[in-house]
Amino acid sequence: MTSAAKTSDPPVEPIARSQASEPTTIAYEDQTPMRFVAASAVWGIVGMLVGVIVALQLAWAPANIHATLGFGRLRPLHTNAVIFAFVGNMIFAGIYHSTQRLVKARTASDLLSKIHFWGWQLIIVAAAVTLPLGMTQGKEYAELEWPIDLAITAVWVVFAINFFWTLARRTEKHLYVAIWFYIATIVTVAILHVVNSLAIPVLGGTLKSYSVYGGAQDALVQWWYGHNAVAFFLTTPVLGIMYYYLPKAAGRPVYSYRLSIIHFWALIFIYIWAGPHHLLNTALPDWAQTLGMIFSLMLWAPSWGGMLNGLLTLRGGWSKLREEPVLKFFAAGVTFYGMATFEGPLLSIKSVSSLAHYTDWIIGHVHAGALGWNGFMAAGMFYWLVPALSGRPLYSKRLADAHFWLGTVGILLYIVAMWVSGVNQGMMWRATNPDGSLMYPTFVETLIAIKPMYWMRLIGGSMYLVGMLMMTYNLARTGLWSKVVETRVKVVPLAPAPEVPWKDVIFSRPIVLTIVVLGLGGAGMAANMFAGPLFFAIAFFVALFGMVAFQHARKAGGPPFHRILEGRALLFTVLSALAVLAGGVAEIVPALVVKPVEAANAKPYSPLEVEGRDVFIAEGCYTCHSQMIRPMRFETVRYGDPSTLEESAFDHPFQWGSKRTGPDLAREGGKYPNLWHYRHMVDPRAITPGSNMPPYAHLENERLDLARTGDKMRALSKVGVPYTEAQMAAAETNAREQGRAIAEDLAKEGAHVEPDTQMVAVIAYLQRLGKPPAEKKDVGEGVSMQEGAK
Amino acid sequence: MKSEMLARSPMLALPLFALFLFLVVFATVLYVTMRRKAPAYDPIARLPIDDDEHLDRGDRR
Repeated sequence: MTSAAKTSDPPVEPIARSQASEPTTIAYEDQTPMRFVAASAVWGIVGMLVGVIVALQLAWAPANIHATLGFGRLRPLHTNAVIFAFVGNMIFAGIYHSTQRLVKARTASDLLSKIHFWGWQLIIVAAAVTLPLGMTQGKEYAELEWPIDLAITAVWVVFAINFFWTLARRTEKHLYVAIWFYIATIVTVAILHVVNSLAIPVLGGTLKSYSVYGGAQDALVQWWYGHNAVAFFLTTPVLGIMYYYLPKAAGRPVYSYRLSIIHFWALIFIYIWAGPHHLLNTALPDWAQTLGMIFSLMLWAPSWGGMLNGLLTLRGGWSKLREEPVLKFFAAGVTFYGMATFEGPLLSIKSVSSLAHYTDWIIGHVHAGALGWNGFMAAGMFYWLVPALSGRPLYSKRLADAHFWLGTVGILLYIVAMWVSGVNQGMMWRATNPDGSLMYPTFVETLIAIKPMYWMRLIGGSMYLVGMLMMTYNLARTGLWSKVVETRVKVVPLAPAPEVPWKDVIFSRPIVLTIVVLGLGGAGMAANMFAGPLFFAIAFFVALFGMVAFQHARKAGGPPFHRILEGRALLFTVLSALAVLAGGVAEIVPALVVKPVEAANAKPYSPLEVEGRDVFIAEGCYTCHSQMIRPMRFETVRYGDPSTLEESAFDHPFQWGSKRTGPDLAREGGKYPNLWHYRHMVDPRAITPGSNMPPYAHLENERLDLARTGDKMRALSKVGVPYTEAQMAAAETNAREQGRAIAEDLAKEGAHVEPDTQMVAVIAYLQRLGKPPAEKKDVGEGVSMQEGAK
Repeated sequence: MKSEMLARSPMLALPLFALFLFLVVFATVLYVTMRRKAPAYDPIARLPIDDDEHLDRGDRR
């Protein structure tokens, strides 16, 4: 501890103020944030309306009125609309508005702002068109096909350039904590999106593509992405927004700035590791599961640190909550964040996950975050921002209050329904009789038991939607569509102050110390089990004493090292990226570089099965059916032997799923005759009364383009599926033959279906699941022919 | 089989190394941050509150 610290530390003055030159006036560019607010409100209504529709479809299956409006196709539209359209536009609004004020600079380029805004809306429209048409990669929250993925990348780069360019022009050198969260968001989302979306398109002007990852590798990458989409798209930018708008609305600074520093670094480092908790008790290697669980539990600390920092900012001002709808929404939003981030680690405990995974509990958890945290933080921000930007008072505080209470009750109805439903499902799935047999052997029994909860969810969701409509009306009457009031502010441009030279930063004591400590840590890794701990101990003490020595040796009056970092946006960005990459690389690389030896015994799908699998993915069947039997007795009694890595080695993308509204399909092959599948898809409730599965009669009339099957197999071969040239060349003939065999089998039972229809292909695929392919008959090699017809 | 192979793989050191890295960085940040007293950060913490200084609201654009 230095002597300065012992007495009283000098205040850390924002740098601009200490380097004053001639003041100048700048005008903020606020039309872009206002546009994003409007887009967020409109898309929020659309996304939540689709949510209400899919909730109705789950409660009442006849609501699946058309093939393109079936649950499997609308559910990805709902999730994408809420995440990327509603929350996406909201965070852009907050970032564009608050960044200018925090760094005291106008947004760098109006043109880039416009390209960002309209490009993002175009992407949303493209998603709204392609997803109902069944054009999907089949990866949750990353369903959009490759041309749209490329567009997302381009627009994100435009956003990043505009943001960092603005930082480069700043007149307030110090980067406030909100900006750190924005930086982490921009960098990490780019990494996540690019890595997870890598896919090989099928040649010939088609939108279809196959993920470069398969099976367990894909599972690991997908949930590394999926969880961190929650972390870095739905959480970190909203935390940045919290750190700016909550103090602003409360009229008092954040409770603890020191806590915010710890919160930031701990959160971004830990979050990135937590993805595998989505894959607990699956065929994923144990080490990855354990890693995911432990880091998820560690997340409790920074998450609650941030939550408490937000709530305690209101200390002494709680009475304002009675009058200010903005603060009501913020307080409730941060509380829901605390609740969701308590529940998340809880669900990541392996034993809890064994009960909750695949059930509605997870849906309740997600909606506590999306509706409570994201939705309410958006509402709070919008109710503050639109009056500020339009220069008019909020049209109706009473209406905003009504929105708050309607939304709160709606969320509680929703999540309580899903908790009850999820725990009920989990308990019923695992309930056994004294003789070890299942107490509820028919899956649909467990569905019928929770139907009342589906209606309750529908009511809760509808109330929330009505609240959104009220908010949009209120904002519109306030001035959402009007032109913004120009805000000018006097700033003091940064004088070309003598900065710490790069050489001094790179070779500064903290960096040198860190390198030495890491070197010792690396030596500990490389050494044997006896020398390793010694190296670690030395590294620890070197780090400890080094830091203390550094602090003592610092020249009087010189800037602290963290101040140097906070004043250098580029260096800060690089360090943030390293913090994020440390977890990502350490977790993903071992799984990617090890040759999947199990694949040696696996056999790829036949051409018709490839087509059937594509239809399965296009229809969104994976949103309700898992293909992963966990190694638990109640699972194996119900579904069969536990799934192995080998079985999904050639699945691009993997189809392990995340939810069981219907039963697991990993060993569906051969369980029922072809006719059962045919009748079940034409009219699910004729076969299984009480089922809420949408009908798929339209598949009977949809023809396959078998001339393209060879191209699909060629694309799959590029990502590692071992098809031979002969198999790819004979794809069409092969597929037609297998289709004919299935069609003939159906015809014997009185069902007449053309052999080249999607219905036949899906039956071929379902009959293959969990079964090895049949021996070669007469076309191609190693590919099932007659087996599918049996 | 894959799990066994990975268990023997030196690449498993990567997660452990990253964890070690985290602990070092976390301890450093914690120390550097907490050694300064809270009031020292007040001017920075007030940045969102004070950004209306010299505010000049003009006409609608």
